Amino acid sequence: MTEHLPALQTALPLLAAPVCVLLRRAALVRVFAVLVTWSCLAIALSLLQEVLGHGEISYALGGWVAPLGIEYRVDILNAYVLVLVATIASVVIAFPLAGRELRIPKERFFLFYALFLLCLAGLLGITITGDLFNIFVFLEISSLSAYALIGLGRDRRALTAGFSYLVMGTIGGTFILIGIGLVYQMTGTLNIVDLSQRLPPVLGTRTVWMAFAFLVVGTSIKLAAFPLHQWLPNAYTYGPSVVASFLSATATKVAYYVLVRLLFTVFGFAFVFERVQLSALLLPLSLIAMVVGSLAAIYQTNIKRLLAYSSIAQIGYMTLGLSLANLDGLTGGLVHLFNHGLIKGGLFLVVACALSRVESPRIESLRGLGKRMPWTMAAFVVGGLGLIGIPGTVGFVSKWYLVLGALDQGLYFVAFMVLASSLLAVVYVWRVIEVMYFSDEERAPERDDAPLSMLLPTWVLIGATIYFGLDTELTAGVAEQAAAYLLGGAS
Amino acid sequence: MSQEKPSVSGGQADGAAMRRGLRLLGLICAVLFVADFFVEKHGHHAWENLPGAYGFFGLLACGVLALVASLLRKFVERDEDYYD
Amino acid sequence: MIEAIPPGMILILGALILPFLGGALQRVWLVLLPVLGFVQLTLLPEGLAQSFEFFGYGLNPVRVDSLSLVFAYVFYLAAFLSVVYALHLRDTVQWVSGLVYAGSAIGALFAGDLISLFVYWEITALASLFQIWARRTEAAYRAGLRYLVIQVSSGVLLLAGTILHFADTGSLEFGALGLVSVGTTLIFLAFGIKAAFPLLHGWLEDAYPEATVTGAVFLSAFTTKLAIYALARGFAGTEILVPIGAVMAAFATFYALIENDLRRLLAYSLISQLGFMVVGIGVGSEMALNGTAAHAFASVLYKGLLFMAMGAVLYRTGTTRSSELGGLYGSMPWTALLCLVGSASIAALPLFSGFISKSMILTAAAENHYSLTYTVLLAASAGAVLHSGIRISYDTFFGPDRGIRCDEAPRNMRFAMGGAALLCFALGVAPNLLYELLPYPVNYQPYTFSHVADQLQLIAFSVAAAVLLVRLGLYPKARSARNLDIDWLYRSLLPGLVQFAGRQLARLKSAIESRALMGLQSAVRYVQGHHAPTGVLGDPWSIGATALWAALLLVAYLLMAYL
Repeated sequence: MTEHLPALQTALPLLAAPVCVLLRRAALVRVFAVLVTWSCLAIALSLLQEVLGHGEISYALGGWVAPLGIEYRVDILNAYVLVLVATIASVVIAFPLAGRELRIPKERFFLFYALFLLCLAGLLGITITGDLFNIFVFLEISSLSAYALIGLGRDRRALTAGFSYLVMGTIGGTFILIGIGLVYQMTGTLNIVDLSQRLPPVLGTRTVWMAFAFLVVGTSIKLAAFPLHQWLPNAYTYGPSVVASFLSATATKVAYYVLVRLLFTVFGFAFVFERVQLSALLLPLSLIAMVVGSLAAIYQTNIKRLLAYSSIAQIGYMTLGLSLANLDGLTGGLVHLFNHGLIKGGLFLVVACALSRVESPRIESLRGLGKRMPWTMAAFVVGGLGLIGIPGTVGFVSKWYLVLGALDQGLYFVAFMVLASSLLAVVYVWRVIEVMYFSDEERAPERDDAPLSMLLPTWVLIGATIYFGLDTELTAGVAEQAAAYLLGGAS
Repeated sequence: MSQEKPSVSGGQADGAAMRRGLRLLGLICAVLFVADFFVEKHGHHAWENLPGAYGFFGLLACGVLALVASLLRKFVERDEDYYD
Repeated sequence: MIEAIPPGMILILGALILPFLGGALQRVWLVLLPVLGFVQLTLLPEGLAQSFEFFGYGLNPVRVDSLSLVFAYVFYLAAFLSVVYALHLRDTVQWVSGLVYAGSAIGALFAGDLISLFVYWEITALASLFQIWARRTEAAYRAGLRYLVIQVSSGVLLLAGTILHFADTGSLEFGALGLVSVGTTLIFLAFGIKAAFPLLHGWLEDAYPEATVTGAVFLSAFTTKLAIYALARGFAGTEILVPIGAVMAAFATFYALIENDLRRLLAYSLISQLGFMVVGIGVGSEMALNGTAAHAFASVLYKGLLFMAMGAVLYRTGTTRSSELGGLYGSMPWTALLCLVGSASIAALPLFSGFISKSMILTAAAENHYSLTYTVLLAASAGAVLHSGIRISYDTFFGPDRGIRCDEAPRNMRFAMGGAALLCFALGVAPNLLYELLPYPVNYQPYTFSHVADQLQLIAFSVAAAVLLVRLGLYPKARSARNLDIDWLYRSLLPGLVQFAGRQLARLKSAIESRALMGLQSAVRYVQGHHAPTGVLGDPWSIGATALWAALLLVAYLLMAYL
């Protein structure tokens, strides 16, 4: 049984999705989906434990051995990402759906759960597979279900947002497909490990260069790396908050994983950072993302869009870590993948809690909520501190490594920018806190907090941002191992 | 010998007590100065081994300190509510 | 078992329980906490180290050695005396913040790495702030803000220095650092701010006199001595500290001589005493470091005692202005007597604590051929006789009667002062009590004929000099005034400059229709225009833009092939 865990990791949610449609009854479907997702988490955790204990796992799907068959390959890097995705999914799926945020009536909630499980299957599949084309397939599964999930938002603009996400995502998907095609043309293989051996002889060719460009730009769109981020703000703003929570914490993170995998495993450190000099382009773009994203967040009037722009800035941190291309930098990028997933997932759940009591996600409508919903708003404050990067929160851990990585390269300016952009985060977080806690209204509002069923999942994620800010064994420890593994033999 | 003061001035300083206190202070200074001739010195600097060196140094230092402080006052003294 | 709790944590955690207790129980708990902490301290095995993994680096929040222990003992004594002194209050905020402040200062003493040190460093800054704000006056509020900014800056410097130091050496350990790199220099400055180095000392004379009656007692004990400890740990033997310390000892003496507010006078006197310790650290020999630790120990007690006495005066009369006080001996005999013990100690009268500690530093300086520094310190000692020995006691209790009649200090205050006075006397009579705690073996005998004779002479002739100077009209008389110090830069000059700049800009604007300002405005508008929801960078609707950017990036990557 245990040797089939890699296959179960994706097969379970994939097969469970149609079952949801058959079950139909909302309460039943919810319990079923929660059980399936939690099983996925259990599988992901046992895979991580297995990898940490016994090294890489290779699983030949259907018994067809690579490179002919499809190989599922679990190493420390993707085991780590699997745990993140499954954790966030397990928390989000337990969060009660609020009818007022969805356009479908309660009888059709099973559609949400089916889509959610499909999306989860896609994300887990991308992460676990060792086959380039398989990555594309799962990417499309997750993206298509994500477009639909966004479209479930009650606001009519959700449809437009979902549609432009669809178009832009398809552009990205197409780019990736073209890149895969070109690589296949040059090497005749799609297996990643196989590729890493067959590519080096042909690395100098224009075709491979072309493939590299297409693949990097394609994944950058999925990752919402500046300036290809334009699908993200509206998708997160008009989609339901739970969906935003899930996607912000997983979809872009998985895309980041794909980028890391492509750069370090497929193309290799020497080609990417010495031949192509990727950092020359990626580093400035990351810095711009950090500043522009934070500046834009400052000017937003809608809290969901504020968080969305903050995500763009935070993705800038992750790509910055990547482009530093040293141990500390890459560790910073990878650990921020996990940490930002926790923070942003938690914060969007806070918004979901708030929207169970107020009508509009406009920041103005949160006025005075600090007294009315103390637990919810306290969660926002803690999450906000994480975004800023106060010591004791996960945000500090990430920035610590990024600063170390930048100093290691002698890039004092970059280290300074990481710290300076935290100040911008102070501004946009403070704007919200100010509205929440410092209302000039005289009457003390009735205390009317979100139900425990909502607060509990929210505080699980927010609490984790503190826990992992103090105990960095699992996150930074594993991220550092993964980074060392990726850089192994390179530097 | 800051402890001299209470014994002589009591609750409030009155003239006679003050004079007695000052006479006592003078006496103590004189005794200490004379005694200093009979104490074996092992100072680190030559001047420290002169009889009465520390007493003289005390007088001199206090004089200089008071003068410099008065000078400093000319530059830095402002009204009490200067910052208000 | 008990050593599993980091030292200081008993105070911090215990303080957090305090608000939930009521009545007598609250007071019992308050007094019990420092006692419990002290007991724990005596049980700590030397050489104990606790470490845990953080970020994958081993942090070492508890490291017990003799240097930490000697400071910790006196910190607990000070915490105990301070809470007894504050027992009459009905102000939980001050109790809690005072205990957290003391606890974090003690915790910092045992921090084995720079990150732990930083955390405690910042907690002391924040907690101590409430000792000032609790005065609940406008002036205290503003002084508190200035204090906070400077204290937090010290923490920021410490953190920045730590990061650079770590980048240089890969080590977070808090051991001997030395002025060897940019990182350690920043750490040095961070310590220097809290140790009130010249030009960095403005916060001390600015904020301490604005603190509450009890707050000044707390403040006088911990922040600066923590900095002295940190300097002794990280920068022992750093030559530059010798001149720094000498300048501190000297300039603060001048200011103390002309100060009218007696609590501000004590603040300057405190800086002067810190100067002795800084010199000791700079000299760096075993005797000098012993002297520094001993003098820190002694000065926490006698300086605390003097602040307590002046606090009692402030509490009963509402003022500590020398020009308004005098003749209080009749009203507050106990306070007067105990204050004299403090004065005798700071004047280093034989049989009192200053005598057995200060001379160790002086001897070490002389032995290591810092003759000029030795002379300066000796003069500062004579100055201490003037300002903290005579001035404080005489002006308050024995000088010309200004007709103030008041009650004696409350009982708890008298107990606290009595305890401190007893300790000052005990250390003076039995110096070995202290010498045995010092980090290095002590090879020093304070009670020699020559030392006693010299010191008695110095004091007696200084007193005589004071009398003479007063008679000659040369002694700076107490009068109502505010003396400018370095804090003038940011309290007066800086706001003035800003106002001046504002006026100039306004004139510029009206004069030339302010092209420059319009440029600035358009820059702000530019940022806003691009980032607000209606701007290019804030507007997410454009599919075309994404396609265009994707194409551009693709081209960029392809072009890199040919570059």
